[in-house]
Amino acid sequence: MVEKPLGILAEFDNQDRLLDAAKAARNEGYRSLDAFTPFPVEGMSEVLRIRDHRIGWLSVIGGFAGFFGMLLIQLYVNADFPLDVGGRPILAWPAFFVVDFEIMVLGAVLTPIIGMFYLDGLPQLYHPLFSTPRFSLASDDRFFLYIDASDPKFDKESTRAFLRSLEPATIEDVIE
Amino acid sequence: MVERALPLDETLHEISVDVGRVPLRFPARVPWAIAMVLSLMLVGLFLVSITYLFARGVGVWGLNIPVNWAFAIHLYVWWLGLGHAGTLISAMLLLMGQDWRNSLNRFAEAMTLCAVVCAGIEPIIHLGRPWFFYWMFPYPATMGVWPQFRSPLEWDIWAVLTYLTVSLVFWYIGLVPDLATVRDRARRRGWRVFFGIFSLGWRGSALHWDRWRRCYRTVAVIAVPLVVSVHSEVSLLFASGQIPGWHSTIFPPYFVLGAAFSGFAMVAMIAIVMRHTFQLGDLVTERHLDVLAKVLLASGLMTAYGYVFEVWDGLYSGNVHEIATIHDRFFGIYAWSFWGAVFFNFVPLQALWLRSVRRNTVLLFLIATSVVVGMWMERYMILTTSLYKDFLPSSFGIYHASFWDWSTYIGMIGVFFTPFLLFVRYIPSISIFEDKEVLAREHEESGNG
Amino acid sequence: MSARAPDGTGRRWWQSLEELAGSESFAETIKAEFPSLFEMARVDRRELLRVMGASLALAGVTGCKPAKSDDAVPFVNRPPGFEEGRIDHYATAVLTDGFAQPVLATTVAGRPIKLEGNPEHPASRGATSFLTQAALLDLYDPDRSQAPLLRGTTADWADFDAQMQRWGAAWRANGGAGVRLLIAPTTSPTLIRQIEQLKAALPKLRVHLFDPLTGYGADPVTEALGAVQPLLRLENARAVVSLDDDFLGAGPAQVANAGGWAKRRGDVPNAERIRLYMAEATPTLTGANAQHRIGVRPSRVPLLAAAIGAKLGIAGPASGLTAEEFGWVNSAAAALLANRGKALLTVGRHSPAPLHSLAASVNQRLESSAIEYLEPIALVPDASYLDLVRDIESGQVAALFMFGANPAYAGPADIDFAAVARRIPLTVHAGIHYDETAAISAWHLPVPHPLEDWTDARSIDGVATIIQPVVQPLYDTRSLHTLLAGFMTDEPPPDARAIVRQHWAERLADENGWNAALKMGFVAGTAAKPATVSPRPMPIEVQPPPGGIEIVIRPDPTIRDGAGANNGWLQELPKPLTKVTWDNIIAISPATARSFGIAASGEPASNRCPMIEVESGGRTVTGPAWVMPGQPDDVATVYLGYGRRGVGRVGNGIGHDAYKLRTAAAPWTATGTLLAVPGMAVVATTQTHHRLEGGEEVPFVPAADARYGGATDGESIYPRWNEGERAWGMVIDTDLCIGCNACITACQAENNVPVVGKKQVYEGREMHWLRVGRLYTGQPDNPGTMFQPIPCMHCEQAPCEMGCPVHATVHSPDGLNLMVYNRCIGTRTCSSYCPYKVRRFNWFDYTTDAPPSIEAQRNPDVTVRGRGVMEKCTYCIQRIRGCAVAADIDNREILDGDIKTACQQACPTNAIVFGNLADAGSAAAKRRASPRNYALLGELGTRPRTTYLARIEEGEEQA
Repeated sequence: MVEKPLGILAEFDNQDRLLDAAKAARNEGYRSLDAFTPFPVEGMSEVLRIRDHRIGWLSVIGGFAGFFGMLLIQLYVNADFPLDVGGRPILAWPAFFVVDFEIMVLGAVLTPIIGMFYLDGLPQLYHPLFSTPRFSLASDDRFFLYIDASDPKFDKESTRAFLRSLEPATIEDVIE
Repeated sequence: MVERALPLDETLHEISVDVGRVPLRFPARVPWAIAMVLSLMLVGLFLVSITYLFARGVGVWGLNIPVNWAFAIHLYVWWLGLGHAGTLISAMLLLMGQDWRNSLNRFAEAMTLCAVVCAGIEPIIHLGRPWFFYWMFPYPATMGVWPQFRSPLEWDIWAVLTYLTVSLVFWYIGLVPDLATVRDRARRRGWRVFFGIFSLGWRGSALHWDRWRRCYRTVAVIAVPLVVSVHSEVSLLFASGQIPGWHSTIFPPYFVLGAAFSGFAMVAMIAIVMRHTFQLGDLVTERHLDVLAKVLLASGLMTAYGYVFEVWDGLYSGNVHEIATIHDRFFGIYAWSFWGAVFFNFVPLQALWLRSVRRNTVLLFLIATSVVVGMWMERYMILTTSLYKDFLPSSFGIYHASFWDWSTYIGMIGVFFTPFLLFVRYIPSISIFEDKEVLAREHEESGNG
Repeated sequence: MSARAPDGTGRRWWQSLEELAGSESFAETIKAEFPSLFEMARVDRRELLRVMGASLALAGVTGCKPAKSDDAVPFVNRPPGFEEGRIDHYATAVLTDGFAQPVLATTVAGRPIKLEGNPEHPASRGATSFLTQAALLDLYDPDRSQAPLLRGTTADWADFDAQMQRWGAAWRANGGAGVRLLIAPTTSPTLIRQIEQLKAALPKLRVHLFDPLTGYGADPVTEALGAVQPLLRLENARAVVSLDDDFLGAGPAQVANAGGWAKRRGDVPNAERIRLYMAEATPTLTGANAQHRIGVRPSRVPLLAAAIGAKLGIAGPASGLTAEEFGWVNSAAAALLANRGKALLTVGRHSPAPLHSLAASVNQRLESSAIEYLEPIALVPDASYLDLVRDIESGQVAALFMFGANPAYAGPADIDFAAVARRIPLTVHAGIHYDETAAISAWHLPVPHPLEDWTDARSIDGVATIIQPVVQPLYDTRSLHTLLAGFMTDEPPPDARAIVRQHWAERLADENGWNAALKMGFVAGTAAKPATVSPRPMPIEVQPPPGGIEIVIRPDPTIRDGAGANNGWLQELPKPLTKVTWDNIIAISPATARSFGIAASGEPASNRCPMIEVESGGRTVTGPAWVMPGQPDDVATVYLGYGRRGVGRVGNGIGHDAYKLRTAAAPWTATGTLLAVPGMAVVATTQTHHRLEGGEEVPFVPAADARYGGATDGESIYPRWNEGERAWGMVIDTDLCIGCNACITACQAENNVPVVGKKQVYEGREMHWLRVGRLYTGQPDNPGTMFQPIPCMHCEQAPCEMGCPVHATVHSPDGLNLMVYNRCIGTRTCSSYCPYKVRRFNWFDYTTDAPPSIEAQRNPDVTVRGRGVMEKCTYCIQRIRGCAVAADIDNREILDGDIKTACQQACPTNAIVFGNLADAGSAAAKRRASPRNYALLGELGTRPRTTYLARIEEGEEQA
C-alpha cells in the first residue's frame, strides 16, 4: 500500500519560474503553500501573503524591557546603599542612561532572534522534507514549491496534475 | 556599464562549491597548518605571560604612578577598534544596500568576535586583583555593596558584554542558512551531523526567510548605533578624567572614527590574505578591494580631522597643562608615538587616491598594515603622553614597557588568530546565500537590459 | 582654564636643568623607551634581600617582651601590669650624634611602634626630625649584632667578664697605662661621670673622641672658644648670615632650629620676618630657604668671613671679592648692622677655628640674642682620634676600647686604621652592628638600642632625659654603663638601671622625683648654664684659590656619616634637594657638567646619570654625576655614608665610599680633578626631571596679609553634600615648610608604608603617602628653591571616586576620601583620574611574606595592604576614629588639636595644620580663612580639603 503524502514538492531551476508557479498555485486556490529556496526570493512573501510583523514588535518590547529593567536596577542599588561618590548626586541620571542604552540594545536584539526561532519552530533537526532526494538542492541552486496535504483543495492526483502543468524540473511526494 | 559585485559567469552552484569546499575539502591545508601552529605558539606565550602575571602581580609590567595604565588599556581600545569594522560592514552596508559587502561581512564579523574577545580579556588581566573582576556586576554581595554606575569603567564592562553578545548572534543568524547549505553539500556523515546541528535544521522555507529578513535587518538597524555607543563609552574612560589630553568632548567621535579606520584596514588585510589563500578571487573581487580602499581613505581622512581638531582644541583652551601635553606629544620623549601615528596612519594612506593602488592587492595590504600600526601608536600615545606628565611636576614619571608587557601583547595576537583560523577552516567564510541573491539579481538585470 | 597668579606674583617653577635646556634627542628617547628589551627580566637577588632586610623580613625579633612594669614608668600612668594589646606612651629619648631627641614612645603589647616628640620638652615641643622617626626602625634592624664575638666567632658574656676581670686588675695596678677609649660623641651625664671615675681609678687612661661628623683632629670650636656648646636662638633672629652653616639640615639641633625659624615666618609681619643670607659651597636645605644665597667655592668662604668681619670692624680689610660676592657681603653686613641684637653670623661646624672665633666676636659685638654659648654638654675628650693614631704608631697603646666608634669605615683615607690597629695588643669594639671596625677587633660587644635599655642623655639645650627601656632587650646586649663599670670592679658589674639610678641619686633622691622625671621625660632644671666665651683672636688666613676642582665632602642628607645606612626608611627617604634614594651622587654645577659633556641631570627619560670620577691625592671615587642647580662651578660635592661593607643587608655595597677622599688634615674639602668615565648609573629619584610649562603650584604674595587670588572652591553643578558638624581638612603653609622630610618618615612609621627598594623606586613605585615636591625658580646657577608637601587632597568632588567601578573609594560623612582596601579590585582608574597623583598602588605583594617579626613595628590600627590594591593618605583616619571613640567614652566633644596627623605631629615648623573646618574656631579653619589660602589646581573644581597658604616673598632688601 502507498500511504498518503504529507505534501508535494515541485522543483524549479530559477526563482522567476518559482514565483510564477507560486502565483499560479495561489490563483488555483491553494492556500497551504510554501517555497524552499537557497536565498530569500524577492516578492515571494507578497505572493504567498506572508505578513508577520511580530518580529518588529518583539524587538520594541525587548528594548523597553531592557531599558526600564536596567534603569530600575541602577536606581535600586543606589537607593539601597547610598554613598557620597565624588560629591555626585545619588541618582545620577545622565550616568545611568549610558548602561541603560546598552541593555536596551541587548533586549532589542535578543528578543526578536529568540522569537524568530520560536515561531519558526527551530531548532528542528529532522523534517520529512529532508528525506526527499532532491530537497538538498534547495540550499544550493534549486527552487521548490510545496503544497501541503493539509490544504482543503489538496488531492493527491489533481494537485500533482496541476503542478505538472507548471512544468517543474521534478515533482516528488513528501512521505512521512 | 555598471560594475558588478560578482562576475556573471559565476553560477549559483559554483558559489556553493567555491565557498562550501573551504570547510569540506580544505584547499590550503599547509599554509593553514603553519599559521595555526604559529598562532598556537603565541597562545602558549600568552598563557606563560599571564601565569607569571597572576603569580607575581601587575608589577611585572612596566606600570607605575603616574603611568598606571598602559599596554592593557591601550590594547583594549585598539582591539575593540579593530572589531568595529566587522559590525559596520555587515550592518551599515546592509542597510545601505551595498551588495559588495556580502563577500566580506562574514569573516569581517568573525574578526569582530575574535577582536572583541581579546579586547574583553585585556581589562580583566590588568586588574590588581583579577580574581575579583565579578565585583563589577550587580549581584547581592554579603556586604550589600553594589557596583558604581557613575564609573566609565563600569559602563565599558556593559558595553563590551553587549557588543560581544550582539556581534555573536548577528554573526550566527547570518550563518545559519549557509550552514544548511554546507550541511547539504557534505558527503561525510560527521560533517553532516556537525553542520546539521549548527544549522538548526534550516530548510529555507519562504515563511522562515521572511521572518529571518525582518529579524536580520532589525538587528542590523540596532547594531550601527551600538558600535557608535560602545566606542564612545570607551573614549569616556579617558574623557571623564580631567587629565590634560583626555578631557575633551571630541573624544567620542574621534575614537569611533579611529576605530572604524583601523577596523577597515584589518578587514582589507584579511580579505586580501583569504582571497589569495583560498582562490576566492571570483567572490572577493578587485571591486571589493577598491571600495574597501575608498572607505579606508574616507575614514582615515575623518580620523586625521580628529587629530587636527584635538591639537586645536588644546591650544584654543589656553590651558597651560593642555598646551604642555600637546608640546610633549610633539617634542616630548614619547614624540615617536605621536609622529609615528601621524605617519603610519596618514602618509601611505594618500596613495589610495590612485585607482591603480586601490586595486593592487600588495600595496593595499601594506597600506592597511601601516594603518593598523599607526592606530596602535595613536592609542599608546593618547594614554602615555597624557599620564606621564599631568599637572604637578613632582608626580611626573616615565613609563617603560617591560618584557612582560610585550610578551602579553604578542601572545594576545595568537589569542586573536587561533579562533579566527578555526573559523576559516570549519565555517563558510563568505556569505553563500547572500552572494547567490546578488548574482540572481544581476542575472535578472542583465536579462532585462 | 588654568589658575593665574595675580600680576607680579606669577612664577615659572622649573624642575631641573634639561627642562630649561629642553634637550631631548629622538635616538636616546627610543633607547630610553625600551630598556626592558635590553635588561630583560634581570632578577636581582641582592636587591630582594636588601628590601626584605629593609622591611625587617629577616629580623630575629619574634619574642618581643614588654618592659618590666616595675622598672619603666609610662608617660600617662603606671601600668598595674601588662595587658595584651595595651597601648602605653613612655617618655624617653633616642639619640642623634649623642644628643637626646626627647620622644614619647607609643608601645602596643609592649612593642614600640611609633615615636612622637615629647610635647613637654622645651627643646622639642612635640616635633621630631626624620632621624628621630627613623630611629625606631634601628631597634628592629634585623642585622643588629646579637651576641659577643671573639675574633668573629660567637662568645659568651661570661668569657668576656673573665677576661675583663683579669685586665681590670692589671690596669688598676698599673694605672691603666696604654689603655685608651675611642668613644663616639655622647652627652650622657651618667656615662661622663663614669668616665671621670674611671680616669680617677686609672689615671693613665685616656679618652679619645671619634666623630666623623666634626672631624678627626682638635675641635675647631673648642680651639676658638674653649669648651662650649653654641645654641642658636633663631626665634630671636631678624637677620642671619650663614657662612656654609646648614643649621636647618639634618642634625641634633634641626628640630629646635626649625622651630625657631618658623616663629619668624608665616603669619608674622614682614618687619619681623627672618632674613637669611647664605654663602655656601654646595646647596643645602638652609641655602634653599635663604632669601639671599650665593654659591661660592669653599676656598672663598674665609675670604667672605674676613670681608664681613672687616665691615664690622673686626678683621682686617679683605680684598679680591668678585662683584657678586661684594654685593652679597655688603647687603649681608648691612643687614647685620641694621638689626643689632637680632642679628646672627653663623659659620659651619666644619669651618676652621678662626671663622668660629670671628663669628663669635661679631655676634658679641652685635649683642646677638640669637645665639647662646652654654657650658659643654657633650663629653669633652682628652684627645682626638689623630692623637690616638699617633700614639698607636709610637707603640704607646696596649688596649683600645672603641665604644660606638667605627674608624675602620669612617676614618680618613690617609690613615689605614686596619693596619694601625694591628699594632695594638687588645682591641675591643662595642657597637650596635658588627661593622667594619668590629671585623678587625679582637672582641666585639653588642650594645642595646636606646629604646631597650637604661641610660640618659642631654638635648642641645642641656636638658637631661633619663632614657628608659620601652621594650625588653631584643638581643643579648650590654649597655656601655655596665661595660665601663666592669673596668672598676671584680664583681659582676651592676646593670644599667642601677648605674643610672645611682647617678641621679642625689638630684632625684626619692622615688617620686625619679618617677616624675621618667613620666615627664626630662629632669627639670638640668638645662645647661650659659658660659662666658672670649673668642681667641685668630688671623683668618685666606689661601689663594687652588687650581683644578675643589671637592666638598659632606655627610649624606639622610644616612649622614653612614650610621643610618641599614635603615630602610632612611635609605628610601628622598634626599631633600636631589630626591635621590638608595644612593649617593657626585654633585657638579651645570657649567662644569657641560665642560665634561654631561647633559643636564642625566638622561631625562630614565634617571640615568653618566659616571664621573673624582680624584684627589691619588685616591679616586667614581659615582653618578648629578648636575646640581646652585652648585658653584668647578666644585664637586661628594656625600659620605655609602659604600659600606659591614652594616647589614640593607646598607652594604650601595653607593660609593666618599671617605676615600677624606684626609685627616682636611676632612671637609680637598682639591683634585674630575674625569668623565664611560658607563651610566641608574639613580632612583622620586622626582624625575621635566620641562615645566606654566606652573602656579606655589604662588607668591608680598606679605602675610596679602590676598592670593588663586582659585579655591569653584562653582559646581552638583548639590553640596551636607557634612554635618565635622568636616576634616588640612592647611599647609608653604612659607613654613623647609623641606626637611620629617613628615614623610612619620607617615611611613604611622601607616605601615612598606619599603620597596631602589629598583621599585626607580620604576616609579615608591609607596610614600606623602611626597615633598621640590621646585626651582630663576637661573640654574643660583636658583630659588622651595618645597611643597603633597598628601591626599581629600577632594569634596573627588575625580577618583567617580572613576571607581566598585565603590572602593568613597566619601565619609565627615568629608574623608576613604579607600576601602578589601573592596578594591585594582582597576587604578582612581589614580589615573587623580590630578594630584597622590595614590599609591601595591604592584606586588609587599607584606605577606614577612615573618612575625615584621609585625613588631607595624601599627595595629592600620590595615596592612595586600597585593593589587590602591592606597593613599587617609588623614590618619585611625587617629581620627580613635579620638572620636575616646571622646565618646568621656562623653565630650572632640576638641581642636586632639587629633594630630602623623605628619602634622612631626613637623618641626608647624607647617601642617589639621582640624575640623566646620568649627570656625579650629586652627585649621582659621588658617583656611587666611588671605594666603589657595587650593592646589583649584581650577579643576575638585574642592580639595587640603589647601595651602601662599609663600611670602617680601620686596627687595631695603637695608
